[in-house]
Amino acid sequence: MTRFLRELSESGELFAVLLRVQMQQRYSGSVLGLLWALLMPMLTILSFSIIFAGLSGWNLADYGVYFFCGYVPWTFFQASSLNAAESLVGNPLYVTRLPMPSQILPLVQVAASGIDALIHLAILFAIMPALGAPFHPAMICLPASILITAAAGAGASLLAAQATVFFRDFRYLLSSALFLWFFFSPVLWQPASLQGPMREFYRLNPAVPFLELFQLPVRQGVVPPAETWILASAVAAALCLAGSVSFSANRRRFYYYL
Amino acid sequence: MRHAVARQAPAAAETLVQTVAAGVKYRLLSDDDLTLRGRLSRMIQRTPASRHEFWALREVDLKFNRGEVVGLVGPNGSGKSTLLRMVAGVIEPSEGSIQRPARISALLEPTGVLNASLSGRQNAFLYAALAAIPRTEMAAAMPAIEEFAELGAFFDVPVRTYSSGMLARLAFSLATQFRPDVLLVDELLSVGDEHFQKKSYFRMQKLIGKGSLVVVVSHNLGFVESTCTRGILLSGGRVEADGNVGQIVSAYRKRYA
Repeated sequence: MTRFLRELSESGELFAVLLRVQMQQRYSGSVLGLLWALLMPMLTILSFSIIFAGLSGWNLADYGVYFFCGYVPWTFFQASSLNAAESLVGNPLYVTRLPMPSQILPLVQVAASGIDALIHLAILFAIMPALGAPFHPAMICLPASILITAAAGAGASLLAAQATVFFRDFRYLLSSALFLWFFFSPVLWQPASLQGPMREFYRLNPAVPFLELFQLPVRQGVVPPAETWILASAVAAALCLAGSVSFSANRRRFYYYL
Repeated sequence: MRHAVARQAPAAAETLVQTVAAGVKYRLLSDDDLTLRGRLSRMIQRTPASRHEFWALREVDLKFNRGEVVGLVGPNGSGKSTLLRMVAGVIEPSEGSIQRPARISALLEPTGVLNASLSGRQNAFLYAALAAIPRTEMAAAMPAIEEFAELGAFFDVPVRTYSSGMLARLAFSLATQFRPDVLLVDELLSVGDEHFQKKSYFRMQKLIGKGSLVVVVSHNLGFVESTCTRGILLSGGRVEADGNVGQIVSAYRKRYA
């Protein structure tokens, strides 16, 4: 475990180079480049907003802001863990031919998804005035929201990367689970619309505090309550601990499975 | 059985890598071993997991000293590459132990590590990061690498357009530029043309002069004989003979050629 952290702290340059390579491949590989990165979330948000705001009779502009607030951390977490699941099995020679710390590979995916998340946030800020949504002072807490979400993504990515080494079909299971989880989480719908006992039960969903870290400051202009911060931090810390401890224990066995 | 061949290294030589009764055990995995679906269906049908295991290396006691150029020879499947990977630190021994320095430059399947969509120059920076070489050092060495690899205008073109010889030249230039303490080379030198093989031979000699340890796996016996100072013959995962490279190569030829 100490080795795990020491290697990470010594590999800043490798991390930066791998991240740069990743971003170069993603954004300069096609003619449209960065435009693709902007286009996909815009299309998703626009189409979902029109359909779901229409269905629920919710004001389109307000719904768009609400959905975007949840979409940013959700996509960050989802892309981190799904791309990390491919990071070791997709680069077997890095693990089996190079004496490098393999934990770098899933964590680079988290950083790359983090950059995407920042781009998404920038798009949100750019369209907020057009949607008639004001900027609130409470939005100052967003950097902390991003950091906590990144920590959760890092822990999940370490777990997903290992699981895929040992079970190659884990990534399909993971993407299906995330797809279902998305609809059970308050990204498309508001908790206020829930009826009966569900109004309390939905809070058992560990995604809820993370979503609130973005939804509350941006849409409602309030700093999330301490309880939300503590819950999100606890989930992120548990994921990081589980991810790094199991990665340290299992890394010697990766070679045989790749 | 080990032949009685005298060790070449003088007693005072500094040992960089040492293995003690080291062994590496592989488990042969089927697709069912690698999927949740396969494991579950096995659990339901109560068929036990496949246990095809074999020892790729067994009871390996070796010392590698500074300044040696060691050639590993042996038939296919004798454990040469596994030994090299164990020395490189990408695989830990299943039994016994190994001591090795923290920084090792390993050139094991270099073409696989190069990124196809990056140019030769960009790959050089990627390689530097992977080998923990500071970026400034790599930038300073870039003209020398460019010249040695003889890639011309191709140096700034994605390496997916390279021929296998060009890839090997780039990889060799990168790995041997920085005088690592330990350099491991797996079947690389036989790829380049005669002119480049001559160049790489002199580059190797220079590295040896700097006191590096070089371990080479190659089926090119002529190269091993002319370049290495020590030979190790592996067979069935065990060290069969270890000593003067000429004797080792002729022992290998007698048995397998």
